[in-house]
Amino acid sequence: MNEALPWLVWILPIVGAILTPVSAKIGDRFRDYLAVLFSLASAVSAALMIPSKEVIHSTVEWIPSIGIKAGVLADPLSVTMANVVGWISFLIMVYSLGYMKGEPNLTRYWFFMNFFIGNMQLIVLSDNLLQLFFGWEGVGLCSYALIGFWHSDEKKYWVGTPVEEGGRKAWGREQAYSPSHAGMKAFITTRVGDSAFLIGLLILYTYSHTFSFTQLAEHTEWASSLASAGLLIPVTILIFGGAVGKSAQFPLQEWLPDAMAGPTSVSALIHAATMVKAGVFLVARVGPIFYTAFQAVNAVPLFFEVVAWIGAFTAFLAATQAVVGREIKKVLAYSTVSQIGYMMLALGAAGLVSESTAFAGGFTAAFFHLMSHAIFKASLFMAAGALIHACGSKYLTDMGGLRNIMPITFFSMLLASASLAGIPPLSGFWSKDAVLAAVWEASTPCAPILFALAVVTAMLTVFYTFRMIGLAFFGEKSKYLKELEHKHSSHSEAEHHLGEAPKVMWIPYTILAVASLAIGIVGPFMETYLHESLEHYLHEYGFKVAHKGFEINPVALGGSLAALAVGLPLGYYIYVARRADPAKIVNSSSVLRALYIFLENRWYLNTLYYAIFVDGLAKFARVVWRGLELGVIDKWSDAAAIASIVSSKAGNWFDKYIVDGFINGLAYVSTIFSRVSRRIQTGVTQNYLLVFTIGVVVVSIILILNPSLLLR
Amino acid sequence: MSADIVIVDYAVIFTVGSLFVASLSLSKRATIRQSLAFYASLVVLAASLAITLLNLSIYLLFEPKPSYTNLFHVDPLSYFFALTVQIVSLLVILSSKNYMWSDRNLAVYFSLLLFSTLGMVLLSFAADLLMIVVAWELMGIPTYVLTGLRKDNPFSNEAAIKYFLLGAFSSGILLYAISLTYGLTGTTNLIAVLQALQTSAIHLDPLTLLTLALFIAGFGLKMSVVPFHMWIPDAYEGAPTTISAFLSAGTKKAGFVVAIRVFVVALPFLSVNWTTAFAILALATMTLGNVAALTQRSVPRMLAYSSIAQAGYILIGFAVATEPAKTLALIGVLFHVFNHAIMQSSAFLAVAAVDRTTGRVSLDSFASLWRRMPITSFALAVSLLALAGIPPLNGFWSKLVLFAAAIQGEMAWLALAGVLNSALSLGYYAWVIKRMYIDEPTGSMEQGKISEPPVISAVLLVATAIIIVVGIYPSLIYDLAKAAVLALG
Amino acid sequence: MLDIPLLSLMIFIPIIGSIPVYLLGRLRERLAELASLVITIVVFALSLCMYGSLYVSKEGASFRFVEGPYSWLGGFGVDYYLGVDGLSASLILISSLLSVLVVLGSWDLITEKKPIYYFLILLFEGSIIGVFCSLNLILFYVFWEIVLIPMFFFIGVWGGPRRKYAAMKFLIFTFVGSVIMLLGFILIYLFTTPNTFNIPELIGKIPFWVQLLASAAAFIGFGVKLPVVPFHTWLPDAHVEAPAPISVFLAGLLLKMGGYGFIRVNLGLLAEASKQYAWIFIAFGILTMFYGALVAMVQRDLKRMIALTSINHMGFVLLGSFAGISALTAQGAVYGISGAVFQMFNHAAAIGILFMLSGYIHEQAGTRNIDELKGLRVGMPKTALVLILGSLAGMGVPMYSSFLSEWMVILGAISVNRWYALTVLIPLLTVAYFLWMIKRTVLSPLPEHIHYHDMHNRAMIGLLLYLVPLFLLLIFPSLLLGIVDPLSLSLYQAAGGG
Repeated sequence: MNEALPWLVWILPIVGAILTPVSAKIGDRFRDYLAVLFSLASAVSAALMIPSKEVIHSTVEWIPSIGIKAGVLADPLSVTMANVVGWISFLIMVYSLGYMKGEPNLTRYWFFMNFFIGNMQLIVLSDNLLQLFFGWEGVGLCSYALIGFWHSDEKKYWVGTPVEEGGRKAWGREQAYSPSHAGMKAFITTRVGDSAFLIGLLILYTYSHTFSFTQLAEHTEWASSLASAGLLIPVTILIFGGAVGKSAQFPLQEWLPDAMAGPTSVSALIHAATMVKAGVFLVARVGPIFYTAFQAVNAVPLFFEVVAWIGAFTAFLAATQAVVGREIKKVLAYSTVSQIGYMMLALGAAGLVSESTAFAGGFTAAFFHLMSHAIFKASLFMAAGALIHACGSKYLTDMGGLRNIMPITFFSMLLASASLAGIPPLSGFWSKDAVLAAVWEASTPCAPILFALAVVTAMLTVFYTFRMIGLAFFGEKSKYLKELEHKHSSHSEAEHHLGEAPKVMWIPYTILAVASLAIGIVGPFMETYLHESLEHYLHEYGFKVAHKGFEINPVALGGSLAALAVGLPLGYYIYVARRADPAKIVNSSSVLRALYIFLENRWYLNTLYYAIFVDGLAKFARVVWRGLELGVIDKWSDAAAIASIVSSKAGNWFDKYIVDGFINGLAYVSTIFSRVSRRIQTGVTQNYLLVFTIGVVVVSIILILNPSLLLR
Repeated sequence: MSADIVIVDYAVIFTVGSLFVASLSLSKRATIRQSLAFYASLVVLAASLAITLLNLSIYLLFEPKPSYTNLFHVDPLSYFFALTVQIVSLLVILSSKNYMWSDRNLAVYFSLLLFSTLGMVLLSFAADLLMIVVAWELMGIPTYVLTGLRKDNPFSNEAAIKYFLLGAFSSGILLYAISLTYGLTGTTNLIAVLQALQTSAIHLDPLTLLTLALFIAGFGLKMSVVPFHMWIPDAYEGAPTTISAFLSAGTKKAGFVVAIRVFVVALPFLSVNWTTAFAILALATMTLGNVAALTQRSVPRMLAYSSIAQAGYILIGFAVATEPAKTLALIGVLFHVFNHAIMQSSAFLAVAAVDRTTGRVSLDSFASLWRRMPITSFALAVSLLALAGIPPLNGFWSKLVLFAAAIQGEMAWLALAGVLNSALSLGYYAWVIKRMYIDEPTGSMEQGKISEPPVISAVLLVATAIIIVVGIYPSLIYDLAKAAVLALG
Repeated sequence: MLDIPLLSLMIFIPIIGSIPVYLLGRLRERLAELASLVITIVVFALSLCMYGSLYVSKEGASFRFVEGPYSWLGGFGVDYYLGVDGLSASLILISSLLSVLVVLGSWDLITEKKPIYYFLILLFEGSIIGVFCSLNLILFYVFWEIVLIPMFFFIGVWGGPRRKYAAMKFLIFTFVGSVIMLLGFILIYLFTTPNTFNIPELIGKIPFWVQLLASAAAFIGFGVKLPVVPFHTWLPDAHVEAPAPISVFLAGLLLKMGGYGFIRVNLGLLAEASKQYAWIFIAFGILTMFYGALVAMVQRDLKRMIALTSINHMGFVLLGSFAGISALTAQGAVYGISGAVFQMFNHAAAIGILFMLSGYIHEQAGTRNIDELKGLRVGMPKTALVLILGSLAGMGVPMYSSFLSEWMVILGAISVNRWYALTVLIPLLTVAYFLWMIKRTVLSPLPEHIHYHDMHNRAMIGLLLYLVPLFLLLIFPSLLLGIVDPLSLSLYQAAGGG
């Protein structure tokens, strides 16, 4: 089987990226299409890997002197992931052709998009942690660059509601950020997670002497040595920290909502479909390894507990915030965070099962949810981009009644949101169901709590999804839209007229929406297929395989249906049918109002972080600089200099007035000779000889006392 | 060739020469008084140098045993010092062509220089305390006059008088010490003194300690040892700058050779006492010298203090001039004496050039000197760096040996003090360089390029060349010094 | 092994050649620029040959191209004795490379007193190569001190407003450090049998008490150069005042003298003492790393920020080398020591481009104040691009080999004590303030009233050349590690480990 394919998958886009500046010299359209072509090529070569049944693992020497190889590992996990990434990215690239039309600096855009795809595929296909970390940082870099794509920071590109547009301050801190700030925030926050990751994998390496997944899985002696050093749990959790950062899980979730400052295509690709999934993928990669490791030393799999809890809590946290989101993209961002929480929950649950055959259950669920979420969320984002394009506003409240104006967008967005809400028979339904099932089957005392949390989250999900749909497409046109139309009718040559998006834009997201429907229709078979292939993959890691057919867990089904039963009517009643005014409800009771503000300010976590880590650190650094560097360390050299000068003055004084009997001041000596001689007759001579004699006496005293013992 | 003949050669050449030069001053014709005197004294020095080199090479090649008379030792040590002082006075006389030319009694000046040089040469051979005193005065008295040569300059006069008073007093002390020695040992010949001390136990006598103290004080004046240094700054500042060079590079060194002869050769049995004394004096001398030099406004005065400090470094060698470090220490002493002679004369002569052309020697007047006097400033910079002990210049090597000796002699604290002092000294040496190369000229002074005095420039270049060559190939002098020390036994 | 004395050539071609360059410069200044470029390129070619042959014969541990010992001050154990192993070779390579780049950069940035400037540049290059390949402690010291002189004049003559203060401070500080170091050398000479200054003959022969004292002396000498907090205070001033190309020499090469000394003398000669008291050095290393990053954060002057960043980077060298020598496993030792050398190499290139940039920015915008620089992305796109690329190198993101070296060092440290893993947080700080700087300068709207002019293409290419080794070594780290690892291993075993 062709060894080159996995390499091609991640090298091709990077080549494309490097070619971009060159092709830009030839022509803009050429540049654009070339970029898209390269992403297509990568996707195709990813697809070509599917047929191969056996695992492709090819390596080359990298740092031979300390035995580190670079390599690619194409097993079911990575192949599936690679295809999801490859094809979605391709569609989004196509979409960008329309969405970014007419923007300046597109060379930079295409460069980083392709560079991102390359690094993402590097993460997916790399066969060792170190190489994975390279891709890991690479995608972070691209996300930084692309979030800050509109680095000139005009207000219209800001994320959040600036104060002058009626935004609220939390603790006197404005909750709106410029693109460049948002990019920086994203990079640094994820970098915190990455540092933990790096610490973890370095310590892991010092014990295992390898970064390669396969070797880590084969000999698990490192587990026992780590455990004996009491480091097994810390290391695993540190590595999980990387995933927490990249996938915007609690407590590092705050960067993702603000990352929406980037172009919508970027949000769709990086912050919905692929990069934020990298964390999940990482856990999926190392999960089995850690599981076997914990088995080997039969320790409590605390790692999976942590993963599950963080996942569940994040899912809930983000969902509550999504309920009050004003900007459509932010709502989607919150929901992304929350859905990823589901995946983490599933992975955690997978590790908490009693016997290793059941591991595959949660594992599959997580992966299935990852896939379906990637598809429908990408579609949602692109559609949202179309909406923003059409209305020229990012606020849901500025939309409304668009279902007739943008029918295709409405249709595909409805499909995708239904999938997000988990309405059967869409893909979202099956995957979420699987997740819930996995959680229910987890053999841990607190499984019910996790399950309940998941169900509540599901309810919230349904609610905010239909809130979004309702606000955007149903009810009356908003005041803003009316003015807009009025403006256009007055002078027809206006940049965005209200209407359906161009083909190149709506085709991609319609495809994805339909795909999510299609997958939903064949959902059970899809799940079993994944289950089998992943079991086959787990088998390589020494898991026992129990070929279980597809079955539905009644409790999980009940849970998801209950969520629908509560969320759907509520959402429909308030936002679709517009029977009640949410503002009135909120203002009716002070409790609700306080809750609303609390949620809108993201539970004040964001503000807290700024207060502690940004201002606190800066203040500390300033104190050190002023106090220590300038105050002490820089002084002491000068002090030494001054001291020697002073002592020199003292020495001279001593010399002039004590040793050397009289003043050599110009005033005295620049007089006539007679006066000099007179002074000499008047006792100065005696001074001299006195001093000289004293010298002699001193020397003889030294000789007599002879402090030689003291000196040697 | 036996000792007497060598000494006689020197005595005859110098006496005849300097008398002849002195007689020229009677002549009416300025050209005779000046040029003839100048060239005559050059010839004299050239001759004596030739003799020295000849004898030295003969000695090293054919006659590797020191020869004695009861008055003189002829060994590499004496040749080494003779060579050094003659080079110095050669440099001085040469640069006087530009510096002193206008002086009325130039002939006297030259003849006095020659007399003093003879004194130094004899001193480096002298092996009998009486001979030492004679040579000492022969060296000293002319310099008193030379210091006060610029009658119209009150500085000069005052300096001369101070110098004279202290010189006379120190000679007195020296004589007293010698008479004590004679009383204790019944001889004035150094070898005899040594043997006398071997046999008897008189080195326990408190009088011996007093003798030591008096010797140290007597030599210490010329060696510019604190606290016998108080005349130095004034003398060096007041005297004609060439004479300052002569004093600090020449007569001062004579003090060291005598010290070696008396303390190391004759009184090793008292070493326990005098090494300690020298250690303390070394510390005091270099520290006070450097510290005081740090804030001097006038360059000659700064150089004066720096020369005191350098004496301090040399004293480190005396402080450990006993086993186990004896050889290394004495090598260090000789090596640094030579290097210091060259460096110091180069520095002073550079200042002399500046003084000659601009008439100002205050530190501020050196600002951006390199634009106006490139050669002079280059020579000065090199000599200062050498004095600071920056490799690969000669000063570094001799300091290296001295510090090594200190550590070997289990006086590491002295070595530490030494290096810290050199670091401190870099403070003011580099300051002058900064003035010359980095600072902008202060408003008042003229900026035109000055035609540098040719002879002095030539002399400076020669001195610089020596500094660099010895720096790059130190074995040149090191081996000579080593030979001298080993011959001492 | 070779008939031609390659090392002596590399030392003395620049030193001797500096004189004709100066004279040519007196004729026409352009000639001095070209001539010095030619000479530096020749030296670079020679060093490539040297490195290449060393690389082919995988003998990083033993000394090659040995010249001498030829007695110099024979009676005193001072010989003319040259040779290179993996450590020296890599540092010599980067020195000659940086010299070429610095000469190129100086064409734009140095406008006055060109002849003497290029004279000093060549003097500096020759002597620093001498430092890196001397096998005799005194010879080493001699070159070590010669380096000071050109640097003093560079800062003092071509420097900024406070150049005099900076120059004097630099000179005194480093000189105090080195004379104390010299005492340590003398101590070694006197109390080791055989009495010699020759490094190869001293290895493993020095009594332990001498090692202790010498380590203390050496720590001060090298610590001032590296620099180690709290001996670093000369560095920000020197850097801020020095012209950009000279800052490249300062940070790229002069600081390396410290790192080289630590590895060659402390690890090589004073192994037992270093092994026993490694924790002291490691503590200082970590202190330096954190401190540098922390104070760099609040800087407004771009150049001062970069200078403090390089303090932070050099902390890695100290940490790595001593973690390596005291490592529990040979593997850990290789990580630590090789990582330290690798870090020195990378740092030279990375910090080089940053300082050069600060010079260009100052020239083009008239200021280095981060708050005043705005909208570079629009105003000077090329500069902005290079600035971002350079900053990435400074942050140590895994796009350059600097990341590799940093994690190797940390890995070495971890193999001594798990808690050293926390040093991973330092790159985090670095990233934070670099991004903050970029946000303020590059990614900000360009005010109307400001009109920058951008750098021309030759300058940009000249700058991008710095990044070539970083990319190259990321993909083929063995190019460097291949000859450094054997050395690290032998050092470790000589210290009685493994």
